[in-house]
Amino acid sequence: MEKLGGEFQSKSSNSEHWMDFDGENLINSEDGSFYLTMTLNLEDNAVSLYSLGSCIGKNICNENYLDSTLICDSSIPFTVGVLVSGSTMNIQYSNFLLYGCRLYDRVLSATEIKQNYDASKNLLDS
Amino acid sequence: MKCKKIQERKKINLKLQNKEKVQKLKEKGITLIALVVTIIILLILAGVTLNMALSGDGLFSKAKLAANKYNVASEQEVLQQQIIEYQMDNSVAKIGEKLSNNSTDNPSWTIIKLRNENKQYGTNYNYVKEGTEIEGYGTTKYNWVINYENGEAIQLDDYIKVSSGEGVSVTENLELNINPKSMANLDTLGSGVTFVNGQDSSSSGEFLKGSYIEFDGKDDYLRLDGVKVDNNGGITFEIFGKKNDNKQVFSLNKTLFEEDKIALRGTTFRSHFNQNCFSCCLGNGKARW
Repeated sequence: MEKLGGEFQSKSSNSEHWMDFDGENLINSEDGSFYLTMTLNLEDNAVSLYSLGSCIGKNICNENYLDSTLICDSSIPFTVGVLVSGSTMNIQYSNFLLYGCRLYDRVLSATEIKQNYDASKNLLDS
Repeated sequence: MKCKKIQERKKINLKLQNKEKVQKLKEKGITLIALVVTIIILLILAGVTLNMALSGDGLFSKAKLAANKYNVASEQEVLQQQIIEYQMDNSVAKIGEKLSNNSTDNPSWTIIKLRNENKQYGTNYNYVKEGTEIEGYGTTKYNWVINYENGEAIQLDDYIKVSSGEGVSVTENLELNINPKSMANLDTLGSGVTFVNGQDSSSSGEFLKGSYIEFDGKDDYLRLDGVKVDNNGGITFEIFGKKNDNKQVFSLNKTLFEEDKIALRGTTFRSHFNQNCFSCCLGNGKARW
């Protein structure tokens, strides 16, 4: 697993699972661009993170945990650009420029993620 | 004797008067109980009738559905006629946009991919989008893929259109592809995708700016409905762009809604990407940050 410098931490318990990656290269310092990929694999309960087509972290969740959450309920929509967080359920909205967004209903391999990144990175130049 | 007769007459008159009174009372109207019961019955009947007429599978809905099916069938017939005319005379112009399969030896491709089905249309198919002009018919009301070789005319419902210029290399199981460059307006985000509150974004009033969509940090977000996480063992989500300020760049949430407002509970899969920090969390409403 390649890391782009920086410290990776993860935690998995019965009630929460999280990953932090503190470091450089997540956002291009010259033009503020980023390219991020996340996979959620129900077969091994793993959440993986990729930046610029390379894996920066992976966390294995509690095996029963995904069954108890609403992650597989297709009636609950995903949202991009809004975060509901904290014990007070604070709502935050994102301020950014979206150049592209894709969703697959399967887990892409590391090779496929790199292929997509190589095919798409030029789109950020415009 | 006379007195007795007068008294008897008076008694008889009184009895008659009482009888009249009672009869009048009886004839004046229905009882309150009967009235209430009648009203209740009428309300029940009205409710049943309205439900039959207006409910999801009521008369009006069924009539609409039947009308829609008829329109689809009519349009399909028109398209098949176009195909037959071409098959009889190859000089007849084809309608729609030519599609071609994505492959390593085809640098310029366009496919139509059905959402929630691992099926796509490419080579030998033409994409006829809603509003395409057909001579002698008018403009199409639905989206289609047609095949001039085998005569197919398939109506499209839940689909996405992907082209080589959009930087997508992997198309298998692609459910959503937002590429602002190829979008005419936000109505073309695709089925199941909504850009919420985008109308009031940015000082210029434009949020779709050629290469990107601008999220204003106040109330804009994308909503993706109907995503099936357990269809094929998981999902992959990709996002790329540029930050606008030093606050959080973006987040992906699975968010509950109540009456189209974000519910303050029950969020699960969250990820948060900031200046130098990326956090990803699966939780029951508690956040790491």
